[in-house]
Amino acid sequence: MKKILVISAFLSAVLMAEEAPVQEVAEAAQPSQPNVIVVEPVVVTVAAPAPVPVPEPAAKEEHICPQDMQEPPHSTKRPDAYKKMRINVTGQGVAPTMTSSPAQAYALAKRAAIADAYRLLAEKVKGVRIEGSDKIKNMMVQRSEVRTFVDAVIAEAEIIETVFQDGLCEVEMELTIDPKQWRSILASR
Amino acid sequence: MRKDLLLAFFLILYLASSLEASQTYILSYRAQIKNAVVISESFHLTHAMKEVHAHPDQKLELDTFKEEDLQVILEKNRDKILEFLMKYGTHTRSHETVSDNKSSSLISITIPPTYITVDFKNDYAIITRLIID
Repeated sequence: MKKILVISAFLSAVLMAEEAPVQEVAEAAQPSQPNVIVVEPVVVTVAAPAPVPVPEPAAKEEHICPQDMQEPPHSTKRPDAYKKMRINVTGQGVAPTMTSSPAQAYALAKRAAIADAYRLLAEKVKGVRIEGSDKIKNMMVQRSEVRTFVDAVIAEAEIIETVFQDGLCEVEMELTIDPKQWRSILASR
Repeated sequence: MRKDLLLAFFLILYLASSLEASQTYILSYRAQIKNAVVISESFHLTHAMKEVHAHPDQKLELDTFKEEDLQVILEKNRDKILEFLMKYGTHTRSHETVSDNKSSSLISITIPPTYITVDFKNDYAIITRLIID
């Protein structure tokens, strides 16, 4: 029974294979029939686009709108203006003279160095307010003073390296910032 | 019969331990640095007095050093916690005065009070930072 089924399937396959080219030839011979659709394999080849003739610049002056200056949506190569900006600083801290152990000295010096690094980052990102005063008496400078203030909240800063040597701790910190964001921070002051 | 009872008992114990609710705390930090030397430092941890509507954010795993007191665990891992929390915003204030070519500076850094939850699991304390909804 199985053999009969296999043989009949084989025979039907052979018959279909033989009929197919005949049908195609018949269809090719009658191209005017609108109901018959012949699906041919489509081969897509990607080639470099043909050189398009560059139109000559218009005689009238072109005005560039701010929208035209925005980043193109699908460009992989970003212009320098849109790249993230990295700010690196090195903060320094000193261990207090009276510490109970070298470990405490290291911890405190590191903490001071981190704070110094944060201050340097804040100075770079948000800027410094400076006040100066000179006291002059009888045409002589009695006292000269410069005061600087920094006040900022810094987020996403990372410690890159910590070095502790001879009681001095140096902490290198890095902050990655978007130039657009930075400009808006500076503008909001 | 006894075996079944024992199994059921251990199963209940396991479920009870896994369902243990995590505790919510408020953590804050402040340090003052004068002329590159730390002059004062405060690191506070307190229970949240009321329920907080917040969602969990980043997690940090801390070694408990086989301690059970959370204050001790945090004290031993202070550097890690500070580095973890400082990433999310550190308030920096600096006053520097240069008078007659002599400089003196005072920097204060503050981590604003932050909600955290603490879960204990396999000798590790898992700190989760919460963001208020």
